[in-house]
Amino acid sequence: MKFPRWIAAPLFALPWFVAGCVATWLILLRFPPSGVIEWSVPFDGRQMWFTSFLPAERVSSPGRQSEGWTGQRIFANPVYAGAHTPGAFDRIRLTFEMRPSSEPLLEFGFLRDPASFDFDIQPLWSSELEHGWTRVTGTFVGYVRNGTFASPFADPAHTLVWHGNASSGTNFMDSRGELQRVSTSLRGSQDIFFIPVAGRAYFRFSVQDVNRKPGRHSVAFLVSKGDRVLSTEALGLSGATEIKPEHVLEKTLTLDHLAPGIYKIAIRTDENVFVRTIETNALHWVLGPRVWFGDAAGYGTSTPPVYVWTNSRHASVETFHPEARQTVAFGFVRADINQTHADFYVNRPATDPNTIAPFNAPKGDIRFIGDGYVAFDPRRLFFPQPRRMTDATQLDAENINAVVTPYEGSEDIGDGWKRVSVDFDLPRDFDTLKFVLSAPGMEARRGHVDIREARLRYERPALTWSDWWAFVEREAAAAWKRLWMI
Amino acid sequence: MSPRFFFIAFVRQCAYAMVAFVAFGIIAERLIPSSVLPHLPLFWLAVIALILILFFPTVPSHHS
Repeated sequence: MKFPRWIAAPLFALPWFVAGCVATWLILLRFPPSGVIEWSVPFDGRQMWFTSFLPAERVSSPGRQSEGWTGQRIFANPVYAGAHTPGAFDRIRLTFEMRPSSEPLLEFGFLRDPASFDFDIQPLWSSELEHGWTRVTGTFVGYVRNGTFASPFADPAHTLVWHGNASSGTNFMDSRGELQRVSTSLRGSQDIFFIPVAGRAYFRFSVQDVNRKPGRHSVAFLVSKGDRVLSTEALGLSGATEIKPEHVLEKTLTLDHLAPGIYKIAIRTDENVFVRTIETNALHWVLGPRVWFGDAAGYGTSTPPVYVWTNSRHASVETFHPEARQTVAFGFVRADINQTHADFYVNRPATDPNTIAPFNAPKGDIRFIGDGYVAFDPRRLFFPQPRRMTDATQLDAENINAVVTPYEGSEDIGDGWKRVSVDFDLPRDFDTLKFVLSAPGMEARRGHVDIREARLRYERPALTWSDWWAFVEREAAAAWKRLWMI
Repeated sequence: MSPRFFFIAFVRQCAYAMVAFVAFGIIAERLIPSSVLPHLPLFWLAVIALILILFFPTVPSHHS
């Protein structure tokens, strides 16, 4: 028997055809024309696409737990996880099956800037919003108490913000200003909100680098209104071979022709850099919600006390130096800060009728993170946004009627398990994604969170004939970069 | 072409296709992050292809 060539030739091509089909199938798996890839990741200790949560001292080993379920238990805060992007995608949606215990509030963050350890934090779950609240997406996105009609702009005193945007501020403009100079000792990055005076704003900052040894430092001043960045300026703090604190340098920001609204100055630097004085003509300006009052080493003979005003009801305070252990006063509440590197939670009771209250730390050198904002003078205080919702917030007791938040709510899947989701826009050129799960106050409450599954959904626009070349260019650029980075 | 020589030539084509696929896998592994390819038995595919290429009889030249 002989095999004719016209039969043999296609059969010889068969293995090449099969190999080509498998390769094409694999490529389509990674670069789907629909633009969507979805993976389900059980926390069984063998997951590939989403790492287990770490560090190990805050979590159990993923896999079968002593109570019989399979997953991972988180019992301290915060914990970190990671994922690998399968290609150049625009967005990721993470869905978790989890079971919180004694935890009122969970947040999930994406590490957007590894250099500054800057996380984009989103709401993940709230027990307070589970019952008696309705999600709305009309004039604002968030929740309103059942049976009420609340607008966050009309009723800011009874509104909270949980990683949402409730800044109305469309017509805020002061007609006259008043020059004020504040001596302080603000450490590291700060956010300042202000209302312009007759279309103008003037700020002068005295800045000092107290530790020049690690290298050259700089301070960036970003002025923005809403999502729009208006100006970016930098101040270089020259790092010579000396290691003593540097001279105090000054930076002046003058902004003209400002439209009515609320503006923000984001001061971005590291914790070795201090703002020693602030001079401004703004009538209304506040700091926060995180304000770090540092010491005066290398600048003055004694650390100035902190006496500021805030609309916060809940705050956590922390000091990092033994000499700054002290009793702080927050409205009528006193708290003994008797150890360093520990969060102390101070809460004004819901019965406290005052909208604003003083915060006093006689020895200074303390980091204050409130749910509201801080001013050095009560007349300067205004609220660029309503207060933040925190783990200490009691919505009923505090008569809150609306919460502005992108939180989508949870789905009850039985036996105490919830399904919750969170979305992030992905920057380009990110192969490895890093995440943080935050459960504020978890150790103090002796709570925990069980996680048994994560679902990752990567999204980009569906591939079309018109933009396939742009897609190939983007993937090729990412692959080229990857080739030299690995 | 006799069935014996057809079989030999066919197996060798399979071996060459396997080598090409392994090469594709290695390059893709390098260029595509968290590739699905680690799930594929690339190593064993390469071993089988090499055994076939090295030890399987070759097609006599007058038949090729």
